Amino acid sequence: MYFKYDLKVGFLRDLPKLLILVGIVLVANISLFRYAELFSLNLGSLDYILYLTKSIAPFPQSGEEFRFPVVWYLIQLYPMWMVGRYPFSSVYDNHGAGVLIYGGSRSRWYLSKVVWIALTVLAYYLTMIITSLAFCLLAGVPISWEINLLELTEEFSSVALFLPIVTSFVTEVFQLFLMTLTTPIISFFLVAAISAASTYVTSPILFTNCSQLLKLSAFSEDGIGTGEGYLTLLIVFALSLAAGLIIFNRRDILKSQRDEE
Amino acid sequence: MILELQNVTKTIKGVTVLDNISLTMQGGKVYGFQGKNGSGKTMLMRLICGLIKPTSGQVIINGETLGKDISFPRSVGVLIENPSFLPECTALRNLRLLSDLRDHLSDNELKAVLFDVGLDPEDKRKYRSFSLGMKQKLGIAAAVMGIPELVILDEPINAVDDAGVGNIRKILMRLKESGSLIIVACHDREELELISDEILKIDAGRIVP
Repeated sequence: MYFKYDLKVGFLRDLPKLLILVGIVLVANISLFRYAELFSLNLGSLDYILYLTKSIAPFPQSGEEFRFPVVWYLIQLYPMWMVGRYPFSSVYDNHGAGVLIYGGSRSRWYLSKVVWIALTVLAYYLTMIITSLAFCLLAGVPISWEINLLELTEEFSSVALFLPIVTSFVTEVFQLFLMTLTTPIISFFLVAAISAASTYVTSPILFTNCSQLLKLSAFSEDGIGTGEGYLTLLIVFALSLAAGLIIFNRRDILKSQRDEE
Repeated sequence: MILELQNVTKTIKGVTVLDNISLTMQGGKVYGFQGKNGSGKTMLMRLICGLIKPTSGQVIINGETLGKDISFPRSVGVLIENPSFLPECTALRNLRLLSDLRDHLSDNELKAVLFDVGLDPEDKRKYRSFSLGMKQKLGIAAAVMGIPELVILDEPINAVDDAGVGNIRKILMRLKESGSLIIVACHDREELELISDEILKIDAGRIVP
């Protein structure tokens, strides 16, 4: 029952906000298009999609100067903001408390938010892919599933390409768990800080590394293995879900908590 | 409907806000909670709703322990604090979204509730443009729709005009006749005495004689 509500109020109502993402993706696409023209690179549509989540190679192993991956970071921040504002936005007022009470179960309320996150992340990446494909069609970039932009290593597996999507989902579930401990704003900044740190430090413990394609062994010799990445994400997901459920089931819903935020 | 509070104490950040409260309330009656600001009325209502957990003691509703057997009362309508709804939706749409979580009431049933509280069921205005009184009436409508077994209303007549207060009285009497247990907190002592079968005075988190 909660999910129907989350679908209508948390998902469909917020779909127009994905237009901001369309704008970010188009700016990134145009930037890559100009770069490809300047250096006469033959790029296809998949390159334009992967460019959005490539980030930077492991630092300092790559030997390159550290340049903060702005495009990747903006793309990570957006779902964090979406997740930060909806689930706990009204639970402390009469309406949100009513929704929680009428649905009859704290656990189901929480699980519904996890399903909502999955749907939001899928819609998010789908929007990125569709926008990039539309740009490629309009700009005359060939629609192809070959990878030319990134160098493939011997460990390349196409399964690695889905790691950014899975990482975003797990990151938001982790953020939801943090929201049971602290305020939505603090949890947003914590997850944003973890993501920022993971651009500099390559380690599966900073699990947002798994959403940066160039930090994976599929694309960098010193990168994180695909299996290792999925295993880390599975552990973070399971722990976040279990801890979030336990804490939310015990937590008091007080007006003063909202006031503190 | 039987609601029992057994030695309920709630402490928040070292402050005891509810102190060893034991009560039994039954359906078909209106219980009025009377007390000063900060006496613990709203906290007690939140506890009965399942929004906060007792530090010790338990709340039993029809034989089921809150927080153990059930997260929230199975059939409850609440208006705690100020009413709040989705600002971009009409009154009917807001009720529809809430009703779909539990009762799945028909549009006609929801319109009837809106009419009963004195709102125009066909009003196309969004909640954001409602006056304070209209918001309060919608809060009452959300709390009483579907004739819940337990109705909890914190300051239900705030900002409501005389005609609206009359409507709320009628609704509460109808709910009472249908067997609902109604808990009302109200600053207006006369109004509370008029609608309540029993007045419970709360002071410093305790029920006092």
